[in-house]
Amino acid sequence: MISAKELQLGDWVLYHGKPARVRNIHDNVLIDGDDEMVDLVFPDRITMPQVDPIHLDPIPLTGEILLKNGFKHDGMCSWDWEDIRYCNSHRIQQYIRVTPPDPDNEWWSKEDSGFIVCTNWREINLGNLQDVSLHRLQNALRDCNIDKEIEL
Amino acid sequence: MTSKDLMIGDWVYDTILQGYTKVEILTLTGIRGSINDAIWHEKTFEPIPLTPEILEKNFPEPTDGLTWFPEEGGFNCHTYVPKCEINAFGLFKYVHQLQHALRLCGIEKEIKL
Repeated sequence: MISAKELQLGDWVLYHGKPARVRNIHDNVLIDGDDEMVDLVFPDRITMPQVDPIHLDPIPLTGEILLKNGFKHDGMCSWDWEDIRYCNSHRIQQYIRVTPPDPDNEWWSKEDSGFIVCTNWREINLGNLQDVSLHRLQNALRDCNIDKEIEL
Repeated sequence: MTSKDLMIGDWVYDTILQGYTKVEILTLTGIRGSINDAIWHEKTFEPIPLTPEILEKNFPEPTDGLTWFPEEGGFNCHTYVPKCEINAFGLFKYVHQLQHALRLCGIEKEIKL
């Protein structure tokens, strides 16, 4: 279950098994102490006003989602997407590197595994791919100032 | 800074009430902080710059999940939990950025200003 404190506006989550995006986030600490409220927007509906605390689940990050959103598989044991360009002679680099465990590769070690979002001013390692949910990827992208709309 | 950049519990500065406030409600263009009684436009709020005083007050020891040193344009910070793969490092300018990185690592720490 996801807490409202983990979310940012625009995050993808599951509500009763259906994908939805976060529209509003409330933390009613002054009223009930524990109440958290999240308003959602569904792809097939404009809005679903929600006034009670609700149960939300994370959407697991999959290879299909990464592919659909432009993250290319390099054909070996890692997902790799790079955007390297020059701006005012400063090299700007940002990438997402996903390296799942590969026990068949004799060169693979545990340290190779991980999901890393990187820019030239911030690097975030989210851990193993199987532990990364979509909203955590979205939040990491925002924290790295990468303005990328994720589609399902 | 917009409401999309923030999370519940983030510290921001309220330019009307001229005080620090903790985010309690986020909407598409609005924010309500702990010292407000209504949702105000996001432009009312500004990020709070990190200072050595804030960092020293909250992280007197490097074992508190953060190492940091001053750098041009902000502070070079590394948030981590020992023996945990999840970590974040790089240039941090504002308090809410650091709060996000700490949450990412699962570090439940109440930042004091």
